[in-house]
Amino acid sequence: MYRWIRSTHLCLGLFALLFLTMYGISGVIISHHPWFNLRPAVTVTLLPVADAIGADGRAVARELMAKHGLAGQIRAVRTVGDKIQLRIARLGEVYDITYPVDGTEAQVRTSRVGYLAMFNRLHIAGGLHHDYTPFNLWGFLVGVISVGLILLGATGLYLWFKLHSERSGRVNLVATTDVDVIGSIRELLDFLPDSHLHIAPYRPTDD
Amino acid sequence: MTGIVKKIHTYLGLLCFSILIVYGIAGLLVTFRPGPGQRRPPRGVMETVDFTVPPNLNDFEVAELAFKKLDLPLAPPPAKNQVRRDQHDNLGFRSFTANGLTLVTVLEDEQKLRVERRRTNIWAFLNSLHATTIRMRTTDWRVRAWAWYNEFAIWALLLMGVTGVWLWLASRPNHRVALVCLVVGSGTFLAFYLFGR
Repeated sequence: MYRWIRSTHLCLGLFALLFLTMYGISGVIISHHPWFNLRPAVTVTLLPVADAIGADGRAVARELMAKHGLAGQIRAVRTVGDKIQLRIARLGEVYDITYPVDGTEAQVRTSRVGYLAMFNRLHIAGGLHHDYTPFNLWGFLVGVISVGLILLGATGLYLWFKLHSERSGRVNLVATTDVDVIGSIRELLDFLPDSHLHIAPYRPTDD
Repeated sequence: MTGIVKKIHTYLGLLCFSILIVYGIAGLLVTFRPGPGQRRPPRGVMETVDFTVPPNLNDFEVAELAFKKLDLPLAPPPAKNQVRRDQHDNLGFRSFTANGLTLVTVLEDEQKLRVERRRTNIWAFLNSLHATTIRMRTTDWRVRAWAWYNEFAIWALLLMGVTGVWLWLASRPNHRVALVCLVVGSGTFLAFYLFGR
């Protein structure tokens, strides 16, 4: 059992290594964002749109995605005056689109995040309810890593508990007191009448 | 040296055990959260409290007095940009804590405060805890202590990754299943990172 739990802890940790490193780094960024330059690189382009689109913002988005390679989830479609505004977003790039109704061109403002800001996007992304499949795939992975993190904690706790030198010696979790836990339990059991319990020291078969 | 690294890895894990579980729960909450159109905000519980506005105070001073009167647990005092007037021209402010949102409206003519408390469930509370950083404005020592524990855990998580890899290379570098897990996990992450950007 000990060996199996130890291998599980190792495999879970290595599988989740880059994910947890990303969460740690993005946690530092979120806590200390003045330390970092997270401004996206912004470019503005004009892309032609077919004449027959009319006032359908979603159709504009789909036309731009099909003909000009924009990819992502269509968000926030709204009409402001005689213009349609919408957003197409994926993890590292966001396209803010302004299209005059019945016009022939759409203004596309592309914001592309840097490598560190991408960590932030990955950190807050999640969920299985999106229209854009890669978002759902990432959401699934977030769920897997979350379960993995809980199991890492549980297996780690088990491994510590089973280590003979840690358990039968001193318990010094919070560095305030040293308590010989096992010695105390042995004394207590010896004191009680008709005690049937015998605590043998645990010796794992490998280190 | 490996012995020291093992102790560091072990004790960091033990010290951060509870908050790592909170991180895991927060991740599961985000995974199974409904879409934006399907989320229902928590129900608000309304109450009124007697409150007389003293003369010659500006809006922010009135909001500060109302905050002191209510003594909201864990809540920071309202910032100047959080004090606003609603569509009925009543002064009000919002107070966010890990327990949820409290909306306070000053009904000056009635000499009352209308308080709407929208308390979140335990899962949203844990999610809020995981996001409590030292950047947050707070005067409550409990929130400040948790924020510093969170800060410690963030750095500890990074160090546990480094020490974990050390321990793997020092003890079982040829563990086949572990190598496969490393390649699959890292490859999946890199694929998302590079193609998603």
